[in-house]
Formats: sequence, structure tokens, C-alpha cells
Amino acid sequence: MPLTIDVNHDKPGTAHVSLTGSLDSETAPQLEKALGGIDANVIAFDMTNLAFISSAGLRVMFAAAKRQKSKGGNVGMSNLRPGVRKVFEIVKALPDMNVFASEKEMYEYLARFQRPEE
Amino acid sequence: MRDTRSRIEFQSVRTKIALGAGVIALSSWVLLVAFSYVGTSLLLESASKKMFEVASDLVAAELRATYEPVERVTAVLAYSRLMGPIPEEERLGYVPALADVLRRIPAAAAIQFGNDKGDYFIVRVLNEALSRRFEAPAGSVFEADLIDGATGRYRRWFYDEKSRLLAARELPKSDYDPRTRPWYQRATQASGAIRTPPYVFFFMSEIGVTVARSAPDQGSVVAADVTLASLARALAERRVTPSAQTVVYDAEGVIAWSGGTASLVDKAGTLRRRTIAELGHPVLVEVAEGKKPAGWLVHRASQGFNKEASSELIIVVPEAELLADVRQSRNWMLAISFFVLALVIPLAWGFANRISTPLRDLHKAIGRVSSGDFDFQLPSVRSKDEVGDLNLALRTMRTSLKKHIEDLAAAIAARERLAGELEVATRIQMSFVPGGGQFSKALPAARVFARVLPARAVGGDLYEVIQFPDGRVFVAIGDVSDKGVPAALEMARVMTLAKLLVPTTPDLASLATVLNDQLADGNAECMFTTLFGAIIDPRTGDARCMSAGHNPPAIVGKSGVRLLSVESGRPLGLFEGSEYVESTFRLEAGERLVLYTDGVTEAFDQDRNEFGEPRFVALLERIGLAGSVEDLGNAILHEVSAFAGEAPQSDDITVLIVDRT
Repeated sequence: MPLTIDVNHDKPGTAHVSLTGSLDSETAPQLEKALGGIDANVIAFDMTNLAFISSAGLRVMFAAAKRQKSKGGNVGMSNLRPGVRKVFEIVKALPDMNVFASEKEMYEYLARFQRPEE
Repeated sequence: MRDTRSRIEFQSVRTKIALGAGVIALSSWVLLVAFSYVGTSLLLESASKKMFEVASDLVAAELRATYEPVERVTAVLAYSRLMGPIPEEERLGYVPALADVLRRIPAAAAIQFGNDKGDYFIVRVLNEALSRRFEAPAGSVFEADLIDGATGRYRRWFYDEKSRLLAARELPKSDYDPRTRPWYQRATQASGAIRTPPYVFFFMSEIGVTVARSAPDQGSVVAADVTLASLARALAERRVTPSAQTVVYDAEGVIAWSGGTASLVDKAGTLRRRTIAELGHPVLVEVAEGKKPAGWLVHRASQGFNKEASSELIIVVPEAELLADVRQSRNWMLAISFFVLALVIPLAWGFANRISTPLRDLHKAIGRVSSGDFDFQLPSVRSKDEVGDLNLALRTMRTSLKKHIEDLAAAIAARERLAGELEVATRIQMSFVPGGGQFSKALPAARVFARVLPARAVGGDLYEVIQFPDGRVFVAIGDVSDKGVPAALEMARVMTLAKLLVPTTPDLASLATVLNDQLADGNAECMFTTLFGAIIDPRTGDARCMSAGHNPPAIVGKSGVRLLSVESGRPLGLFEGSEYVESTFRLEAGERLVLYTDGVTEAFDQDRNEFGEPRFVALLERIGLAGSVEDLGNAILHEVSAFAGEAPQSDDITVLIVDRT
């Protein structure tokens, strides 16, 4: 299954990334490349349409979180499907990944990490 | 290439161009021929129509020119004293004037007067035959006759060209009565001028008409004989072509013919006009009979001579003669055009050759590619047209083709080298895990089976089996994020560290903490490893375990299958300083501890359905404790493989089973 990545800079300093399909070892490099091109303090992932995530996908998500935190920013994920949520649960990574039930909650939380000038 | 040529009927560009030019040339010529034939026919039609109109008009005009002046003269004479009863001397005194009229109107042969008393007076032009018949004195040009109606006295006077009297003669009494003549009778019945139908003049043996007019108050009629010889002369002079014939005729016979004058009158026996049949012209006979002679253009029109007797005009013209010039020039044109168009074919052939020869040369040169020769020599570029472009394009193609073949060869070599390296890497990686990836060993009171199936040449799954001197057994299963070479390198790191740390670390929680800190150090790529480790005492069944984000293992017992609930920590390598806890559990005698990686539960079939935990648990329940530990392990691997079917293995698959005997 392919992965469709939709990057949207709808709020200043925030990149809204919608993932559709499967984030596995075949498609993870694709996301890694897409995230590499984003220069935003906050990356908000909309996982509504993400059907599957493998360990390769997890690695890319973790790396993104790590990179954002190192420059004072943050990442957030909203609307995880149960299967995808379980993968995060198994690796005990939910607390580090800022998972939210809705986009609204996510944006309220992430607003704190936006740089004042933006 | 040659085979293809012989199988499909080969047609060269040269042949096609030459054939095309030939077809165009031939069809143009045929079109030209057809057009010229149609043109000739149209020309014939319009020319003949015009010609006949002109000829008809000519005949009519000639006729008018013949008798109109005479009609005018008779009109004048009808009011002259000549119409009345005047003395003889006065009457003869008019002869010079009448002679002058006859001289000026060549068609008029005689002017005559008759009255109701039977008196007759005529002035004639003498022709040769008439002079001989009348025994005219030499130099006579005109003669005048006078007949007295009452006495029948008949006298004649001869005049020279200047109307001087040459001789006077007394002739035998005549019984000629003008009142019996048709011209007299018709003129007295009509007002104005009348014209008789054409007839043969007795004395002159010529065909003519008589124009007459009466003066009723005087009881006399004036008439003029008009010969139609001039009409025949005009017809003869104005022939359309040498063989064209024009004839004017009526029921009584021929009136005028372009063929001659003399032969129109049959002098044998009674004088009469000849018929068309007697003219000796078969075409005219056919036309008169209403036939249409082949090769002749025919025109018929009624020619109004007078009201009573209608005459008809026939004109026949031989088509060949009329069109001789047109046909000749047309034939010349067709011959020349055929010659010119015939020249087109060899020219087209030569032209086609010029086009196709470079193409053939190129084709020959490229033909060598099929035999693997990329150093083929192309003919030099000779033209700046498409062929020249093709030549240049082929040169570029040759260069890039050669480069591509070289690149491809290099890539294949590189891939083979990499494959060779990966083969070695696979062996090296498998040497990291006990049993080289397929482990099966009986320990005191336990039997351990493990097997790893990487998705690619190398993978990120790992397992470890270590026997402690005190009889306890350390088993672990792990899964490095992702797969392939990056995962394999990380896996090597994990295995090396684990082998070092396990014997020296007091408990599993400390082992995980140390391993995690080591792996997290400088791990920008966030490579991580999920790990489940357990230390089992097979003699007692006491066991301790630790999970770093790994799938919960299953325990297959007599009463069924249960997933071991273990408090799990984060995967190794992600976050420095993560805490891990050690749990305890019991593995009862006869029970089997099944460790596995997500390659098992997250295997996919072709429709992207996941194998899943429920299916895995059901499988374990179905097999249960039947068979050996190897049987169970291989059954799991077999089931997963059968489930995936044709779908490629999406992740490394590893199973490790401990059977407490």
C-alpha cells in the first residue's frame, strides 16, 4: 500500500502533515525526505487515514520528534486508528509523542511551542 | 532483419515514390485526354451551332439581297406611266432606263408589264444562250419585246450596252397572254408585292422567282424575274469547309446548291428542277430522307421564300474537316504531354533513389546493432533534411546507447558485487545468533528451538540463548526497527553488547537500562530495538523477564494459550535514562514459552490483511502441546508463509520456543 503525504502550512510556524496509507519500510524513506524539507517549529500529524505503521515508520516518527525537540519545537499526532495506536502503545512511546484525540486539542497544546514572532 | 524482409512483402521507399509518381502522372494524362475529348465535343457543338446560325443568316441575307432591290424597283414602276396605256414610242423610250435598272441589279433578269387587255412588254438581259436563240446582232446586251393583246402583233428590239438601238424585228404573231401567267394572276389578287415560288425560267434555263405588283386602277401588272444563281454563287463561295454542302430546296426540287448552278435544271424534255437525289451527293440524300449520316454535322432549317411554298435549308459539314485543325493540335498536345509525363517516371525514380539510398545506408549501418555491434560506422551526413537529422540522431543514439550499455554493465557488476557482499553479510549476521539462525537444542529439563527468517539478505531480528553455569537459561528475542542493512548493523551492535553484558549484569532490569543507554548514545537516526528477555530455571520453572516494548510472549499450556502480561518499558535506544522493570512468572512443566517478533503477527497477505494476534493465538491453541517444539516452531513459520501467499515477506520473522520438559 502506498503512502500519501500532504503537507500544509496553514498556521504560521506549524506544518500540518496528513498521512494516508501505510507507513512501512517501503514508504518510510518518503516521509523522512518530506519531513527533512519542513522548517517549522511544530509539526502536527493528522493520522486519520494512516492504516498501518511498521517499526520503520516508528523510527521516522521518533526521529522527527527528537529533531523538533532539539530545536525547541514539538510534534503532535491526532486521530490515531486503534491499530496504529497499539503499535505506539507496545513500544511505550505514547507519552513521548504527544498523542491527541482531536486536532483541536493538539493545536491548543502545540500553540505553546510556537515561536512568539510567528 | 533479412528474415523480416522476406516474410513481409518488402516495398522500398524508392519503389513507393516512383510508383506514386507514375500513378499521378498516368492519371493526370488520362484526365487530360478525357478533358480534351470533352472539350473537343463542346467546341464542336458550340462552333457548329454558331457556324450554322451564321450560314442560315447568310442564306437569308443573300435571298433578301437578291429580291429586295427588285421589289423596290417594281414598287416604283407600279406608279410609273409604263403601267398605263401609253403610245408605243413612249414605251420604248423607257427601255434605256429599264436596262439601266437591270444592269444595276445583276439578279434581275427581266422586267415585264402586262395588262388586262393582254398587252405584254418585257425588257431582258441577253445572255449567251438567249442571244443565240434570238439570233441577236453582235453587241446586243438587252432586248425588248412588245406583244399587242388585241392583234397578237409581236415585235422585238435589240440594244447594245449603252442602250442604243441595234435592230428592230417583226416576229410571227404570238398567242402569249400575260393574263394566264401565274405572276399576273396572283398579283391582281393581292395588294402589294408577291413572289412566285422558284421555277425554271424558260429562256434562261435558270432557277428564279418572279416578283410582281399590280396597279389595279390601271388594270396592269409589273413583274421582275430574279435568278437565284447569285444565291448559289454565294453558297459556293462561302463554304465552311471545302467539302461542306449547302442546299435550299422545296417540294418541287432544288432551289440553290453550293455545288453549282447549271446542273440544277434538267433540260432533257420539259425543263424542271432537279431533285436532291439528282445532285449526286449521297449525304444530302440521307439528310433529306431524315437520316443522320455518321461523321457529318447537319443543320436543317425552314427557309421562308414566300408564304405559300415553304422551302428548307440543309447544311452538312464533315466533322473531320471542321475539326481537322483542332484534332491535330489536340493530338500534338496529348503526344507532348504524354512524353513529358513519361519523363516524370524516370525522374521520380532518380529522385526516389536520392532519398532512399541514404536511408538504406543508415538501415544497413543500424542493422549491426542487432548483432551487438555498437561501434557501427554511420555514413557521413550529406544532407540537411530529415535523413541528415536522422543520421545525427543515430550518432547521438549510438553514443548514449554505448554509454548506457556500459553503465548497465557497471551496474550489473556492482549489483553482483553487492549481492556477493550481502551473501557474506548474511553468513556473518547468522553467525551472531546461536545455531546460525536455526537453533534447536536439548538442555537439562528443557528444549529450546529458535529460527529467524530475514525479509531481505540481512535483517534486524535477533535472538539469544545463553546457558548459565548454574543451569539457568537466558533467552531473548529482539527486533530492530526497520529491516535490511541499517537494521542488520544495529542488530550486530545489540548482539555484541548483549553478549558482553548478560554474564556480568545482576538482573534483567539493569541489563535493559545499560543496553538502552549504550544504544541511545548519539542515536540521531532513532534506530530502536524492542527486546524481550527471560531467565528461566528449567528445573523449578521459576522465571524472570523484562520487556522493552516487545510483543508479549505466549505460554502454551495444558489448559490453553495465554499471553504473558509483562510490564513493558520503552524500546532500547530511543531515550537515555529509560527505566525498566523485571517481572517474574512460572513456566510449568510441560508448558511452552513462545517468543516471536512482529514479523509473525504483522504478516500480510496479498489483500493487505494482517495475520494478527488472534490468528496467532488460535494457531497455538490448535497445535497446543502436540508434537515436538521444532514441529510447533516450523508450523508457525509455515502457517505465516501460507497466509502471506504470493505477497512478499514484509518483515523479518523470528520464533523462539522454550519447552520445559
